[in-house]
Amino acid sequence: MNLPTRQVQNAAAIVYSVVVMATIIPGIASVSNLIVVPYFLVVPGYYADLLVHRSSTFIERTFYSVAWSSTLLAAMVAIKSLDYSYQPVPIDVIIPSIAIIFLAFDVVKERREVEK
Amino acid sequence: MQKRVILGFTIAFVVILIAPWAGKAQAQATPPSSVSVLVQFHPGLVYDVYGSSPSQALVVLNGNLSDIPRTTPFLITTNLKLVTGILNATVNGQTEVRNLSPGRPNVTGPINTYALTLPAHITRFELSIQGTEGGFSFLWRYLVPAPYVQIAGLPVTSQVPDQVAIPSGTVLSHEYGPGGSVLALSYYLIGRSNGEALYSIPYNVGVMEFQSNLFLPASIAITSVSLIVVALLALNFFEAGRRIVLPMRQWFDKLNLFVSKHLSRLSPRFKLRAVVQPRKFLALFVLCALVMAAGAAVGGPDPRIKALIISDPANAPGIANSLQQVAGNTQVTIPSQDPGDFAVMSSEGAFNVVVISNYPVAQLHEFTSFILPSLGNVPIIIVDKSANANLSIAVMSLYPGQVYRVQNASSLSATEMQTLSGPVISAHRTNELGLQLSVGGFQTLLAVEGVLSFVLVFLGWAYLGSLASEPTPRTDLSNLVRVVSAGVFVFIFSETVYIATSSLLALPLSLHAVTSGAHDLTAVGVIGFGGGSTPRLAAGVLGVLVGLIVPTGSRISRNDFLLIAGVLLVLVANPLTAGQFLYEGMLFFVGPYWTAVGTALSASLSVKGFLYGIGGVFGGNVSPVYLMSAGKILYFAGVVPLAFLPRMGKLTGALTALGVALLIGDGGVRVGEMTPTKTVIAVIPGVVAGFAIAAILLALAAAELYARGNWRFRR
Repeated sequence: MNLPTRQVQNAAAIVYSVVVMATIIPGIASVSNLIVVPYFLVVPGYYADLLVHRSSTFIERTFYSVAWSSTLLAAMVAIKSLDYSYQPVPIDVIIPSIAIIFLAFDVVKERREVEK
Repeated sequence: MQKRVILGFTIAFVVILIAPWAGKAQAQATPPSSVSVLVQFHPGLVYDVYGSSPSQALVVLNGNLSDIPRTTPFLITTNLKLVTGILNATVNGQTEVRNLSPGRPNVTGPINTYALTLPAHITRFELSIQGTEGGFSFLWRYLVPAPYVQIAGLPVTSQVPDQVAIPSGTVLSHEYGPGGSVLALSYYLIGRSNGEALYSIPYNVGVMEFQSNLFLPASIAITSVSLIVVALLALNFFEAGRRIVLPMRQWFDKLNLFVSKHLSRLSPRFKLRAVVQPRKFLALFVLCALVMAAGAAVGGPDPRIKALIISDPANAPGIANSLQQVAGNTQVTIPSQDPGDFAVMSSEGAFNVVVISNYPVAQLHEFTSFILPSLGNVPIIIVDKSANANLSIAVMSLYPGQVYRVQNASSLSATEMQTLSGPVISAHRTNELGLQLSVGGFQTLLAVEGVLSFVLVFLGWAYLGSLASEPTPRTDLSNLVRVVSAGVFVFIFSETVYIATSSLLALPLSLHAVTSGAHDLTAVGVIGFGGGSTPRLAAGVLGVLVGLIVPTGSRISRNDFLLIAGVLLVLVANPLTAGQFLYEGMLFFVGPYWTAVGTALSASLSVKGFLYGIGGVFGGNVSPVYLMSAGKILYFAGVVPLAFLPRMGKLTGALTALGVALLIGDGGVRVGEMTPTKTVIAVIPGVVAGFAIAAILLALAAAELYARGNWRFRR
């Protein structure tokens, strides 16, 4: 994938993440979960895959995207369930934030590789 | 008016004069009753690598009672096993000394309840009761539960904190609460005598840990020297140190040569390397399974009729005797040995008869929780008149076709024996091939099956390890699918073999929560392993490590593996925080149930909560049928990082091998639980949890690669 396409893709992912984070605002809470669910299922895992693995085929990339996303989501729910009294930040904010961090790391990594 | 005032003063004066006498007279009629309780504890200090040693306790009850013309029964609830009692008392004004044996406990288990009785007309007494408590020694430290004594039925006015006698040269190093929580070390000196110091410990201490006062300086010295040597070796600054490592590296080769040389005498073409590869491990794994099932089919089921007796323990021998008269050779089990595993045992046909008699009311919840729902698995249920009325009605309503009512199960009438004889004998399964073994022969078969159950786990887990370490040109995804599906197959197949063999033997091969040291509840118990959890854990860990490290071309560097294992071993022997954490972690696996203590306990509970949380996301708690097992989830979680081994650096790969061996080994213990529904529900949460663990290990691998000056990930 060439760099401009990647930049568009990253920009779209950041906008999508912000939309998902915005669903915690009472006025926007009515945004359909049909938009939120695919995000949780694919996007964070996609960037996790790019960071640690970088699958070569479409099937591999899809598999790892779903696998890492499910793991991240389940791990966050599990960590929060350890202490019900401590609920500082909703998952709708944590997971998109982590996805953006992954994305940022990936961009840095790719730039270094290009420089080399 | 004046007369009335004078009369009032006179009456008041008389009352003031008389009142003290009246009070004294009343005190003489009913003197105040008081009993004090004191527990003195002498830990049976032994500093072994692994072992056990009982501690001694003396419980002293000192009391003054009002003169009662009848006996005074009372209860002692304690974690001690009370042995003998001597009563020094004033009875009817005469001083006398007599034995007052605690006898058998009414309620047994970790906490026992003993019923004792003081004689009538007793006014002053001192009762001294000797008891014992099991202690455990591991890696030169000694752990023992603090004595717990509670008296009911006597007017206890004071119970001083437990007194612990510690010989010179020993220190009380750690105190844990009854639930295993870490307590700030607290004790104060009461006195010294005969080279022992007597300390008073707080009420809330549940477990004490002792060590020699040489342990701290010695272990710090060893740790320091070891860490310096390891650091120098790792940095390649210590050329002479290579001489230490080289023999270890050559150890595997020597072992291989030794085994190959000796086995080649039996078969000239034999080569150990040829065996240590995935397809050979798989073939041996399936062969072992076939031998186990075939052996059980040919030699089983158990020739004895087996009965579960649900009664006061004091009545159990009488009921067992009655059953012997009804059906001949009968083996009896009492629920206190293992109520939790009744569902598994009964579903495998391990019981032919259940006798319900005067079960202690305090333990009825155990019956209703664990036994009543699965009672239908047992063909014959005998209920006698002394059984709890509500319980009898419930059992008769739920299982009407299986219930036989008798007057007194410990003394059956001739008619009752005649009525029961036919059904009880016909409820006993016989060998389908007509090859019934004697009791002695069957015990031998059980021993063989018990050993094979560990071999099965070793081979299956070694197959999994060798599959993961095998060099393969496959893509990441196909390698992941291959390793995870092999992991699922190995667990489910092993559990299937365990279930089939146990059903054919009419006796469980192993159990998950069986009382340690029980010899007659499982096949592995015959060879002295109780439920078999610890040796199954050892077989699993060893299997994974052999599969990962021994094969030629393995991805795991033996030097790095030995380096990490060496560092961990040095840390385990260390008394500082990290060492204590590892030590407490190891106690989980090797010690009795009460040694689950400390920070490692709270960490493990957090991990368990985390696994349950992931299980919850995937529907693990939608109904009581799909119960989650953290252990089974742990096994499947351990399988996933194996698939990522090709992406690990040398050190991270070795760390992964060690960590995964522990995860898979610990989770694999649950094969012996024989609960397939729990396995089914554990697969998906386990795989997802495995990705979480793999993510941490991949992050470590990235750090290692970065430290080695290579940021790019291996492709």
